[in-house]
Amino acid sequence: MKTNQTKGVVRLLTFLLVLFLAMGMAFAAGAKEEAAPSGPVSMTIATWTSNPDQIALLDSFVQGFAAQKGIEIDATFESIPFAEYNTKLSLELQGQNGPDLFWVLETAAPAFIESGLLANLNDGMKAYDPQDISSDALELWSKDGNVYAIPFSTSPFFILYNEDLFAKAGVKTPEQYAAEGAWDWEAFKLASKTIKEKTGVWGFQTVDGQGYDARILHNLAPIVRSYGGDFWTDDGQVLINSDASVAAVQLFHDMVYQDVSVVPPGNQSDFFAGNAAMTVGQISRVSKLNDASFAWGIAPMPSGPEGKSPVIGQAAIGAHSKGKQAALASELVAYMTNKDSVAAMSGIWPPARKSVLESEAFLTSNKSVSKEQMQNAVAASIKTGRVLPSHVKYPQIEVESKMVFDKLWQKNADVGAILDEVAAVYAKYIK
Amino acid sequence: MNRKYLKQAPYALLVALLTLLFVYPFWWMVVNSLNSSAEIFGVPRLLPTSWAFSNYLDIFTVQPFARHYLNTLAVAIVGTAGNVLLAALAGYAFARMRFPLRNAAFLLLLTALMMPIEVTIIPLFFQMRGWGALDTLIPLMLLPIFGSQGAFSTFMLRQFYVTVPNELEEAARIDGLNPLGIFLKIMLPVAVPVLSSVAILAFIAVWNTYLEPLVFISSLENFTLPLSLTNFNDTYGLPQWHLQLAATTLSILPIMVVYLLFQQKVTDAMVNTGLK
Amino acid sequence: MKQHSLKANHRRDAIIGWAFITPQMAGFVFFVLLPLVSVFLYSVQEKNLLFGTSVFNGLENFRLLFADPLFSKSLVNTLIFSAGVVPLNLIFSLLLALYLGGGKMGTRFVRGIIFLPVVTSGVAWAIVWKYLLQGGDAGPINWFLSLIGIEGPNWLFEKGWAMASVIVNRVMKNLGMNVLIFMGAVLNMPGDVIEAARIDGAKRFTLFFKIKLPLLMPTVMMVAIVTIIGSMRVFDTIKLMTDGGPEGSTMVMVYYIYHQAFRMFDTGFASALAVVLFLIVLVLTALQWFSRKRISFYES
Repeated sequence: MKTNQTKGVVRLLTFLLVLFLAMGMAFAAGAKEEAAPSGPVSMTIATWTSNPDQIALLDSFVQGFAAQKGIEIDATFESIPFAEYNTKLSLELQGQNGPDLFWVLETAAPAFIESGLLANLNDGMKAYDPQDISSDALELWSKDGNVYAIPFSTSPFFILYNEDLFAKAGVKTPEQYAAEGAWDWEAFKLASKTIKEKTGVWGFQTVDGQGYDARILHNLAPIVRSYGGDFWTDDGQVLINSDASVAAVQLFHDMVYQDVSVVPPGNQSDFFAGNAAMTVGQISRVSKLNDASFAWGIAPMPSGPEGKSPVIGQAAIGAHSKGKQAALASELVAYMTNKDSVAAMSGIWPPARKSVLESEAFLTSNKSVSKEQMQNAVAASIKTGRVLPSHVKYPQIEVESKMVFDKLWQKNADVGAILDEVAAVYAKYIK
Repeated sequence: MNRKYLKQAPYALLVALLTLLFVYPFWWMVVNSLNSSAEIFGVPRLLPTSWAFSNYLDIFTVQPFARHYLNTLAVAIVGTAGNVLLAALAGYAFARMRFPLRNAAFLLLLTALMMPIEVTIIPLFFQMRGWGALDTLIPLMLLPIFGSQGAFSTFMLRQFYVTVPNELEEAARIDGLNPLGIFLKIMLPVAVPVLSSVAILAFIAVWNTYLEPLVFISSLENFTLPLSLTNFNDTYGLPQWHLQLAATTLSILPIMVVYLLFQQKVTDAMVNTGLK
Repeated sequence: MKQHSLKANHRRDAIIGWAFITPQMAGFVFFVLLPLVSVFLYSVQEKNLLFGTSVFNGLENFRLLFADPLFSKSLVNTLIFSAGVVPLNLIFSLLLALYLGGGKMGTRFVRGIIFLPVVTSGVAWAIVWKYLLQGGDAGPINWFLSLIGIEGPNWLFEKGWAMASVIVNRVMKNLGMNVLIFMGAVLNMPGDVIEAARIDGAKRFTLFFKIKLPLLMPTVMMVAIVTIIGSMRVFDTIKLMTDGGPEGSTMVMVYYIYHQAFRMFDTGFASALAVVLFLIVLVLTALQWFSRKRISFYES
């Protein structure tokens, strides 16, 4: 037997195995290095944006804060996709490497506050004129007089439209309609249909293409509310199946299945690539149009029988109460939402600070959007708009109701009956 | 003459159908990985429209894709090596050695065989959290060795070792080898075909796990390929199709190439499994 | 050779035997057995992942579970899914193996291409098919169908079609593997028995059912077991193609567990689900164990 040869082979194999295991362990331990006590402080900040310009802006605030405190901070920005934000964030906050600061969605605010994962920010805020932040805006983020997250964005959703397509179809633009005071849902429906018929391009894409699933409330709320309906109220009323709500949803349903003018479920056609004439967005989406191959404009949401009811997306930033540097993180949160920071962000994320909102500078803060557009589509809507409904059990409500909402997306769906079912789901949780 | 060709017709039709079903998806994927975001929808074409090779460069700048690749490779190699080695040790012992509770232990191990990972993923999550191993590659390396995949490999090797003639061990014992020596010098080499099958199956399984990384990993640098592929979203969650397809193509390419090069060997390994 | 007492020999053998299996068994205890016990423990608690609570609540989770329409739906869906995947996979792979085994031209090519999805990751395979199956005329599949005048449905967004799409996706993914295994078994069939039967005048049908199939039975059983195990591994396909929808029609047990634990943060309830799943799998394992003994699968 070739014992020596086999011995050699076995030795080699064992050596390789040990080498691989060692390599594996090195990889396994991850890339995080231990920060030396006297070195820079490392902080992780979780957001749902991955836009490099926005991240750079946020980082500049961190550096400003670090300079002010005379320490060095090394910030890592972690972007979690919007559709999985709550899930992933909750998982991370359970681990040891959870983020120190994180954005919070308005719909999940009660749940996160209830969970005790957000640090109390009252002390951190004192230095930065807390009265300047609108109390309406803070309401959602406070409990028993303690503020748990500070809103940095009060951003209305509005209509973005492709001017070239409108011209090609010979249809008046939303801005023109609005100037005449005639921009309502009927005009919207007609414009969408005409454009599809005349150009073959989809008339409307739901917000971020997620209007049938992750952003279904964002999609339906403006229509439903402007008809006088709603989803549920803070005092426990379920209104999703009221006549007004049903009529509103029926309008949208007809657009998708009768007019066939709306990008349907599963279809990935994108407004920003020129494959739809209109969509809904916030001012932060405008940066996606910097390289657009078409002329575009923005207009307020259409109005309904009961007037206008734009949806305001609110986002707040909070500190991890169980994080390793909760105190420092709390101070950083307050710094990132002070007057200067908010002013710098206002072109992307409309401010919740009254001083900034009412300044002239705000109206000209975004280079791609004119003063009039900013006024009509954004500033005016902040006054008349409402945030989405929220609840302690929002994750459960969202998931359960989605399964019922799914039934809507068929040609012959009975909108009234389905909304009755949704109401039943809501009623289980809303007391 | 005509009858002969007529007989071939159904076969040719079958081949054509199979080609369409099994090759077209990959063709479509490669073609569209070279298109821009807007061109992916609409009439499918046989060739890329804009030949955007830049997509393949972009995927490395949008995410640390290279690192994700290495992570997956590390996990797959360590997981497979550990799986095969421990399974061979245990499989051999279960087949050829006598010790108390042998059959009971083997039966116990087999309960892991059919158990989906989803049954134990929740406690595993808390367990890894307790060990401080969340957000590292450690759970991803350990689970393939000891879970359902480990039980499967042990089972396969045990079945194989049962068929090995006694004479080999007898001869080795006479030569003065101790049990470990017998294992390393005789039993491992003789099992190479089965070890290959088991290794290939384990490697493919580990390379493709999705639930475990999804639950255990949160930091971007520690992603594995399956997580990475689903992360090519833009700022607001709209997937960037062209990048996703380019990344998917790249993730499949190496295994595809290895497979096509070693097709005969892989086929033989699989066919051998059937022979048993 | 040294003379040892029988007892000492046995003890030595026992130690060596256990030494060899200890690494695998230790891992098994830590990563399978202990977590399994924990799942039972968690299933009787109200354990919220977000709030970090852990309160004993007896059989409440199970009571909720049996009253949960989505639970029974997921059970039924799991059944439908397995009933779809396993027979389709077995039948097609067996037929293909027999058909291709005749040494026809181009067999190597066919073998090659049907194995392609096997080496592809489930994630990649799901992503590509998600694009291919887009509704309207945006997806290539529907575009091809429109060429022959059929209006394809919105595959992933209509109740029955979504499940069908997922089933087909999984069958195509694993078909190649089973074909190769069956081809090996087919090669191994005793040629003389088959020849004898053919000479005796057995027609194709009889030949297949009375001769070939029984000969292949051990392999068929093994492949069936592996395929049934594999049919549980459908998480990535469902998460990426349908997310349990539409209307929960592709919500299978394994996905429901993930959904409850990591989206609804109710790890107590999810653990109760896991317990039910485990019991089902246990019954299946016991069934296949006994059936193996019947079909005289070879043992030591």
